[in-house]
Amino acid sequence: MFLESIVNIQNLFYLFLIIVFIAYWVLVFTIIYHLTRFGIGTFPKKIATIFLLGSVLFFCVSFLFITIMSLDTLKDLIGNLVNGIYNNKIID
Amino acid sequence: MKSLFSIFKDTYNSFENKEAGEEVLILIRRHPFFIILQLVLFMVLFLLPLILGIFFSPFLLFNNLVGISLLLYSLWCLILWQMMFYLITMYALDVWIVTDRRIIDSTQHGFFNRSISELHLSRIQDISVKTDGLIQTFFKFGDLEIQTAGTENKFKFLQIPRPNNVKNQIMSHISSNIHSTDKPYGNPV
Repeated sequence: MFLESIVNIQNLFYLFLIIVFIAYWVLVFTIIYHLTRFGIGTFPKKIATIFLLGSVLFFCVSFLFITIMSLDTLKDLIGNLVNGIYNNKIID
Repeated sequence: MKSLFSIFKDTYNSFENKEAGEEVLILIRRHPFFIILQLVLFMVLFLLPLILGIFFSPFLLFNNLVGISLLLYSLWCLILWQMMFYLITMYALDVWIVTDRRIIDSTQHGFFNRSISELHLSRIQDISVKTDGLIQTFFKFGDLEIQTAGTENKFKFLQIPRPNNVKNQIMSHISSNIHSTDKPYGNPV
């Protein structure tokens, strides 16, 4: 009963998002680390700054869309799509 | 605050294993032609879903798919941003350094995967420049090959901008050292 309350679609969806965003920030760190640690001259530092600012911006925008897009809306959309395909097949 | 921003303006071009008193004469990267070409492709990939979204906007609005489309587009942008800067990072870390003592070829093959080879200026026997084709001639880039003493492989600078200038700079530095010391450049064998 306790396990069922934890393992549901909503929590799995959030877990998936957390894993994706952790992987994203690990990649961001790796790129910035390479540019600042091994880069020679001013060019890699400038690139690292632009990359960091862009990464934060894109992350915030994606996070905003995820919070706006509730899981219920997503479920409804998938349900509508599946029903639509199923109904079209019956009509055919 | 001023000193914080100085990292974007001033540099000693320091690198790993730089010897005391060693001066960097030239820092060379590949010609930006190919990386710009790839960036243009990325720009197309950034804009393509946006154009398709505008084209199919009546369909998206009718089926209430605007929200999910924007979410997917933002995730698409995240992936492209990472891929684009991965390529730029590889470009930025792929360098040739000419110092007053040696030439260093640092090649980045991927994350945490680098190869570094170096050649002392005293071992240089001959430098040749190769410009191949219309694009290289038009954009003024090409390959520079350095023949070393013995049967070692040639040291190659690939697709560098203005290879003739680089060759002249290296040669003039070697000849100035020969004249100033009145003996062959480098340590006596």
